[in-house]
Amino acid sequence: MKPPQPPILCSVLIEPRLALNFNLHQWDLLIRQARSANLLVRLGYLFDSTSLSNQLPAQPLAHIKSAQAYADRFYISLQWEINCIQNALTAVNVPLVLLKGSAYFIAENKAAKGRLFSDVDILVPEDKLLEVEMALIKAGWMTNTLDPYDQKYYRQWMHEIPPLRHLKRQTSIDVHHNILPKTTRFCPDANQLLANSVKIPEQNIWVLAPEDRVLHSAAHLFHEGEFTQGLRDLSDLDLLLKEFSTQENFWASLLQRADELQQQIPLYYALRYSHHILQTPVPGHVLKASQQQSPNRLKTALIDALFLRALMPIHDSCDNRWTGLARWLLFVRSHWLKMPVYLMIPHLLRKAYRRATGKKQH
Amino acid sequence: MSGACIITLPKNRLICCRFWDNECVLYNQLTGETHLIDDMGTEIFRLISEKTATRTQLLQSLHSVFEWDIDFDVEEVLDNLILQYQKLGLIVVTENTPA
Amino acid sequence: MKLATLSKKAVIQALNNDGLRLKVGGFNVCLSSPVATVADHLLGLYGAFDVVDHTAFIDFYTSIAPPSKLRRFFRANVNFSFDGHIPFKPLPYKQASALFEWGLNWCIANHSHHYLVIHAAVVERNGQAFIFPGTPGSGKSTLCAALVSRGWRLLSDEMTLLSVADGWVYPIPRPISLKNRSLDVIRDFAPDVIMGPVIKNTAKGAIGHVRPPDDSVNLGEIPVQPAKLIFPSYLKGSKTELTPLSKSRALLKVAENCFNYNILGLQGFNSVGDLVDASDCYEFKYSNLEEAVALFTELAH
Repeated sequence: MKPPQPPILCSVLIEPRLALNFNLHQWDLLIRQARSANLLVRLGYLFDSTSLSNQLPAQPLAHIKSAQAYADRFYISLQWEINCIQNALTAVNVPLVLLKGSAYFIAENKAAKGRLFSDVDILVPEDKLLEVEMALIKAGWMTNTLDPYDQKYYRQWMHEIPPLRHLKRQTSIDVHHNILPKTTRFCPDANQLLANSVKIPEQNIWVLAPEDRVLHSAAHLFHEGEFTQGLRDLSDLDLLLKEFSTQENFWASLLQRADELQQQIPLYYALRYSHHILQTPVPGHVLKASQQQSPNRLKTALIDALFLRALMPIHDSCDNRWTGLARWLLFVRSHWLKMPVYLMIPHLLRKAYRRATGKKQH
Repeated sequence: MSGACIITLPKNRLICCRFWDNECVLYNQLTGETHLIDDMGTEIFRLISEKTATRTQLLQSLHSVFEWDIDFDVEEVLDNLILQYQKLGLIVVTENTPA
Repeated sequence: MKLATLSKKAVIQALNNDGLRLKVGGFNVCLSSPVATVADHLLGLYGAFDVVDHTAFIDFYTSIAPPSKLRRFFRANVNFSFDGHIPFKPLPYKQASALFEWGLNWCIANHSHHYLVIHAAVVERNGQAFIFPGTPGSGKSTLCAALVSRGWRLLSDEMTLLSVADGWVYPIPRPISLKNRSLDVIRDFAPDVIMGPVIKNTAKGAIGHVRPPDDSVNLGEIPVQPAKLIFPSYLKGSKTELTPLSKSRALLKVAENCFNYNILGLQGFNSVGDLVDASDCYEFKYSNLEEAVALFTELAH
């Protein structure tokens, strides 16, 4: 199983200037890969921030501009959505802690640039869950999933309640009480995450501490079963790491925090693959320290073979014959990480059955 | 509503207005909603998009633009409109408390 | 090189291999399809379109193909795919060519936010763009086909691309799609138009496509300034009636008929605002096409 050639998209994410020498055929491929990886808007911001945009050929530029127009509107709607959620939570006096994309957005992280998503994720203390859910329902959200199996599955095993959808705006919110399911073998203590969360200046909104934001992103990616957004998520990590690494003592506190939250393995993968695929400047000693958590060498070779495929954009030009298998194995692996085996088999069977009957998966 | 109330458009050019004769169309950048306003409403937005106005000033200006039947309760209609626009997030009303 | 200069065999071969690359207005579209009716559709209606070579940038990679090789044997359904992504449910095999037209509409409406995309027919005369927004049943395509058959230039029968940057209308001339009774109406009105085969029982009823005039296709990259914004409604037996419409009401009606007004946000509001400012706005009731064409020809003087 030879790893596939690195896609043209990865090369440009590493060095945007390369694109200046592209012929139209290469541009064609770049735009297609970026679109299927959900990175077209980010690519645009990358060109903007390196002042290359005015040197791009008109045709690819039109696609980038089109995607950016969509994104611009998305950010305005996101701000409006956050305001509405904040109003709803004020009623029950629970502070608003945003996660993932909305957190990057409100904290003005570079990883917010060109990140489009469909749900706002928030973190609330587990004992406030019911109160928050009621407050949101009162403010116009309602539960999406009426399937009793889904409801039970979420409430018994997951780290979030079933997604709520706003009746009028049709927007979706995921209310979490932790960043990983309760059944994960290395589940962090949510109180520690909340305790370290940081306030956004001049707003009554909170986000996880920078180290925790990285660890959450890593945990999410490397426990996630479906890699449809794999490269996008890895690019988030790349941007977060680059941005935070200018803070004093960041790397040491990141390693320490991974210990405290039991996220050493996801961090190891995050550093390894963002360095490997996107050449994130991770200092050698940090890679080495994180590697001490590494599985043995044989397993590393296997995991490498899987991740290096699955983290590529889902596009014909990036797939080789092993990609499908790699994605499937990682899907099974993620369930193994999250659930004890006796739970996993019936759940996967259930998923397979639902797929066969054409029902919507969660 | 007291006559000293100050009526303004929301901050940051949140509401964009385009005027044609006795009609105007407003766009709310935050919610993405578009509103068609006519007659008295148009005059209100024409005035407050030029400068902030108190309720009393609005009333005066409206009197100089429109002619009404004697039994037409302008104040009630104006207060109703202000309340509606406020609910839609199109205007901001602040009580002018003396310092 | 025009598609018409290729042999039927060459077209079929391209469609079956890595795709036929066509210049459609300002877009380059690559289509691959093993379906024979799709080849016929292109050969019959796209003859005047340029074929671009392999070095060109392709905006939309599309395909019309049966869902799997197994099902292909039964020839039941076909899927539209945009670079491997399948946005809609498959349709019956017989509707393959209509599915291509709908699929291309979808591509343009969803990936061209550098334009305000209005659900409207648009034609040109004397350098003036006449825009006819319309809900289904307003008769915009019929009106468009009628005007085009009398020498007006076709910019689009389905989507008006208004550039956000300069406020001009950019053409995307393609076959005009007519439904049900309109097919006979246009056959009677303009017996010379070239029409593809009628596809029955689609979600929109019977559908036929009118070949766009060669001149319109040749001018496919030349934009036009908007001049008239006309909201048609076809009313059986009605008199021909053109009524001025206030600019603010026209703005709202255009916004309702856009594919991406919400996405463009303030930009969209400003574009529609500038459009109604630049155009004379009317509502138009009609039942007689001859009268309609005469009226608009007069208006374009």
